[in-house]
Amino acid sequence: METYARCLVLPSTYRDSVWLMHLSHTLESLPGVQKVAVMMGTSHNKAVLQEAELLTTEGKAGGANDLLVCVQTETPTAAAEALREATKRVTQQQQRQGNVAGEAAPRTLETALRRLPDANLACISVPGEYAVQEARKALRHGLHVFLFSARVDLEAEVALKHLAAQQGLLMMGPDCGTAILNGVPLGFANHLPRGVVGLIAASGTGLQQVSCLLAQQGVGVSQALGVGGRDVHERIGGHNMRAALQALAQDRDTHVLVLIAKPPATHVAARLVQDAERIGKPCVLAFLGETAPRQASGAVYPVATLAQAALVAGALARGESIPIGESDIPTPLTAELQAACVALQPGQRLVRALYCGGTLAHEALGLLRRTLGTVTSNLDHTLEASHGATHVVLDLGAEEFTQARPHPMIDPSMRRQHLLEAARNPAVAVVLCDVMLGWSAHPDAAGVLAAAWEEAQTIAQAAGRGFVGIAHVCGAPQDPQGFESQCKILHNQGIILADSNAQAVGLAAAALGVQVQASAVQPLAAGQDGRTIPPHDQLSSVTMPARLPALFAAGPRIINVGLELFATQLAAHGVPVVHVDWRPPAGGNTRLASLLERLR
Amino acid sequence: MTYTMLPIRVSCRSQAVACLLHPQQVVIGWVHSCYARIINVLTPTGRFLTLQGEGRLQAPLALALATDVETLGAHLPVGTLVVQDICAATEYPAALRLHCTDVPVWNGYLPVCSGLTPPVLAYLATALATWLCRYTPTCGLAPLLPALERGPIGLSAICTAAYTALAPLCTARPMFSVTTFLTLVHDLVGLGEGLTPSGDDFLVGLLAVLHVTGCFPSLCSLAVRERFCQCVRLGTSQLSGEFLRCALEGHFAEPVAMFVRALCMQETRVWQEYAARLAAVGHSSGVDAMAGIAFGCRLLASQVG
Repeated sequence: METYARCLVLPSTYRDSVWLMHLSHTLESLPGVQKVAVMMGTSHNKAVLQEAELLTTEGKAGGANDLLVCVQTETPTAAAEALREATKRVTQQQQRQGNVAGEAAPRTLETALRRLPDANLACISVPGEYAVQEARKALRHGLHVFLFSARVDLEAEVALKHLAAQQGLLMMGPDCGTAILNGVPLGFANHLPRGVVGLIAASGTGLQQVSCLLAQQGVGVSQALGVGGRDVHERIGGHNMRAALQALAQDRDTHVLVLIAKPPATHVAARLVQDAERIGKPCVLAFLGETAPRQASGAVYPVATLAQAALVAGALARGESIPIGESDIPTPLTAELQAACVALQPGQRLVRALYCGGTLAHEALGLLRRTLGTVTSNLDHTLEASHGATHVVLDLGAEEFTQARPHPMIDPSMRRQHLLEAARNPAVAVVLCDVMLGWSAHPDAAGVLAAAWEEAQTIAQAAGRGFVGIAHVCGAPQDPQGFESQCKILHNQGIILADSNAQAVGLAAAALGVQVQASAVQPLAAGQDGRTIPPHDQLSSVTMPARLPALFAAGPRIINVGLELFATQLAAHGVPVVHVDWRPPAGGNTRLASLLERLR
Repeated sequence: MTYTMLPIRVSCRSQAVACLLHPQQVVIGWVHSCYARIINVLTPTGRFLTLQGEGRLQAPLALALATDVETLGAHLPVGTLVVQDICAATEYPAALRLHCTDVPVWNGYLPVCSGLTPPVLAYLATALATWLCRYTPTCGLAPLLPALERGPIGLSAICTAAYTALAPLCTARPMFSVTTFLTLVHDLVGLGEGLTPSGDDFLVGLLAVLHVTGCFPSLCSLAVRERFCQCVRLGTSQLSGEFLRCALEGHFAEPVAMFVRALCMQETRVWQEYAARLAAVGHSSGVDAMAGIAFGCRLLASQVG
């Protein structure tokens, strides 16, 4: 195969080695790039480059104080593109460094703190293997932590939460996708009105779903605190959810509370219910996927779906009576569904659910299993053991799909291949999707889905069949993507739009002639719920993080370590934020970094 | 573009800087380059000073400033005049005034260390090579060390080039002479990735071993020094060349000097702590220097033995 070599000579250019390696890795990841070398133009290096067929006439002219960027590519265009990227990155850094009015981004949390000495929160989104160290540093500096990073060891999570508790701080996460503090969105959050409902969630997209459905009702949020997916695990004991509950119980702006989580460990659930009963404010419990319906007592309202949580919380916020039971699918939607099902052929009987939001996928899996029986999914590793013809729910944001690529909420294009695969499968009748809007999410997620949908329909039609597309747009009316316009894009493609994720699942089941079974709210008198209450000594007391009210009072002032996207979003909201130009310690050698950490 | 700026206090400087900078010398130099947390200043005599924040001195010619160097660097265009904050400098249109009087001096000079017998050197070479293979097996020139034992299988182009230069010394074991030394310098200087190429860092490590073992004076006549400096001047970048020139004179950055001193004390836990810190310097600079140290120990152990 023919290859092309190009060299860029940057005269008298000095960059630190870590930056040079980053540039090298970035260029290597570009399409069509085979080899990259970024080196000072010394004689020996030029000899090595010559041997590797990376040195061109331009490169030969470089001297020992010049930086050489050499690429070997499949096409001349790829080479030009790679060098253009290199030039852009060098220029960007020069502009940052040469801009006397501006400031170079700090490289460490400590330096950032010198720029923003009254910071009170660290937003951390570095790779999981480094996240613990950064979070620990932040807590030791007296900062509350929003830890977006996933893949943090369970014991490390316990230690971090213990440290946070000692310091009177709130540790949101790890794997905390979203939070809203004083109206300021952290991570993937939507543009919500301020209001009286306080949300506490061990689930990112669960929090988004409830808050958006509240916003659709015109009900706002006081604070929305994420605690991380494993907070309700037996080992963690729901510590942060309970601490956040205490905090919002005392928050004068919060009148109604909603707790959202996948099913907590039995004893953790019991503690949460007992805490919820004692706080003196109505509290909605959305523990998704619990097999036995939890019953309400006093001012505690268990619900089975996120949509129910939003409906009940909305009614409580407005002082209205609590809606009982599942709301029916509106007639126009039923009619739309019937019309779409006309294109189905005999033998098309399966549902393919392709989700960007993990909790929405989890909710769909639970509801579909109760209704359709066998449903396989990557969420519980049943997909590997399945033998083909089953209903499938995929969480495309799971680790196995996001290695070395952005989360599908940032780049939803990875759904295309799964969609096309579904179109080729003669047994698939319904494709179920979510579209996540809000800050940091893709600017046109609906457009990406619509384009893929068109391709998929063409494939199916060529095979003499059609299939039904059902989507739920999880967004608030004021989201930056434009909720209405995103819905319109999908509607124009013939995709049926559900008002909630649960309704989307209901429509999918209805397309197969089945009705979804979800438990409804059944208020009962206290003491009749038959739940397992742990022995008294197991009810360890959890107090409100002492420094949390100060955060609510002053509003967040943030050090952002990791994704620059989050800092940009915060700056756009007028939030004081300093972004750390973070690089992995010890050149990315995790073993060495860990050793260094132990030596400190 | 020049503009006045308040004096900045220097909180610490290396012995090598103290020797270079006379108390009444007005002009320190001009800003040559800024990156990350470093400002390089080129002196009128062509030396490179490294201005950094507080903490371990990252270069042999380093001054630690009691300020946020990242922010400062963003405000200093290349060519900015840097002066000492002394009366004679009042009229100078300098943007950066460094208050250097009564500043603590850190001595990065590596004197001869007694007790480095051939068996000790052989032990240190093995222990360090084992540590590098365990913690940084693929970093920089670390893969060279096992390759010198087992052969050059699967080495990168840079490691292969270094292997070609070093392997004959391991197999034939000629006496380590001036010629051997200068050949090594010629073959390794400017070789490899990074702002200070890997070969240069390796040579810094080798020079450290030559200094602490007392082998250096017999090797390094004035003529050899001149040839070394010429080789460095032609073969690598000005900044990296400065590190090599200092190493030739026996002055090292703090992480290197602290590690070598700890290694010579032969207290495993202590030197391993400093090894971990040195390994974290640069992308591979610290590891490359340690590879040079391990190689130097091995070479001299076999020579004397």
